Amino acid sequence: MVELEAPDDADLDRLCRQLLANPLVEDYEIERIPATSSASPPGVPGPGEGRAA
Amino acid sequence: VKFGVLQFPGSCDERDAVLACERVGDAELIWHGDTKLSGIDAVVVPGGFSYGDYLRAGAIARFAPVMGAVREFADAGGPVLGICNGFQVLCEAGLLPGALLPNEGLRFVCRQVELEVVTTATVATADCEPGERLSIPVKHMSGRWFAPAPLLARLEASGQIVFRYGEGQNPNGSVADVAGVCDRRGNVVGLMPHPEHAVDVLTGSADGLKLFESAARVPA
Repeated sequence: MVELEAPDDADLDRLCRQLLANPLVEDYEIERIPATSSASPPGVPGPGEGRAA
Repeated sequence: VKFGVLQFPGSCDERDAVLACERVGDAELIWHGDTKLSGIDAVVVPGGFSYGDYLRAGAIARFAPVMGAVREFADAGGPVLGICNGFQVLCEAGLLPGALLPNEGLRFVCRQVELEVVTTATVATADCEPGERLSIPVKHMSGRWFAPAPLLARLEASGQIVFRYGEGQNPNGSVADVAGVCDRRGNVVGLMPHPEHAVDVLTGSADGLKLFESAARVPA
C-alpha cells in the first residue's frame, strides 16, 4: 500500500500505471480517504488529503 | 566499435562490463544523467541495483534521462544489451517483453549455469550456433522472467526467446526456462546471466565473450 497526499488526483492512475505498479504482473486500485473536518493525528490523512493504494 | 556502458546510482557491474567490451573494442561509461549517446555503436545496460532497486528493480531507472537516448538508439536499430539489472530496466521501460519477478525460492542465487542459445538472429548471438551451450554465471534476487501464456506463445512464435537455462538448471523459476529475450527486430537483447563475468577462462569460462563479439559486429 502506498499512501500519499494528492491535492489533485487527476494523474493518480497514470502514476500507478507507469511507476507504482507493473501492469503486466500487478493490479492496483485507488482509494480516496474522505476529508475530515478536524485535525488529524500524525500519520493519518488530514483534510483534503487522499490515499492511493 | 565503441560500446557505451550505462552507469546508474547503484550500478555495480558497469566496470566489468567495460572490461568485457574492451576485449572486443573500445568502451566508455555513460552517466545516467546524460541525454546523448554521441559516438556510441552499442549500448550495454549493466547489472547492479539501479536507484537501490526501490519500488521494483528497474522501475525508477527507466525514467533516467539517459533512457530517452537509449530508446532512440534502439528505435534506430542500434544494438542494446541488458544484463541482469539492465534486463530488468529494459523490461520496465517496455523495450523488452515480460517482467522479472522475485526468484521462486525467494533467495538470492549465485551460481554458474548452462545456457542454450535458442536463436542466433540477434545482435548478441550472431556469433553463436543454434543450440550452443554457454557457461555463464547468474547472481540475482529477482530473475524470474515471466510473461502471460498468450504473450509467451507469441514470443516463441516470433523467435524472441534468445536463451534458455539448460535442463534442470533454471535457478529462479522463470517460465519456460527463459533466461533471455529480445525485441521484435533482435537488436535489443536482455538476459539475467552475466556474460561480462565470463570473458576469461581463468575465472571459469570465456563463453560470455561471444555476446560482446556478436554485438561488435553489428554495423553502426
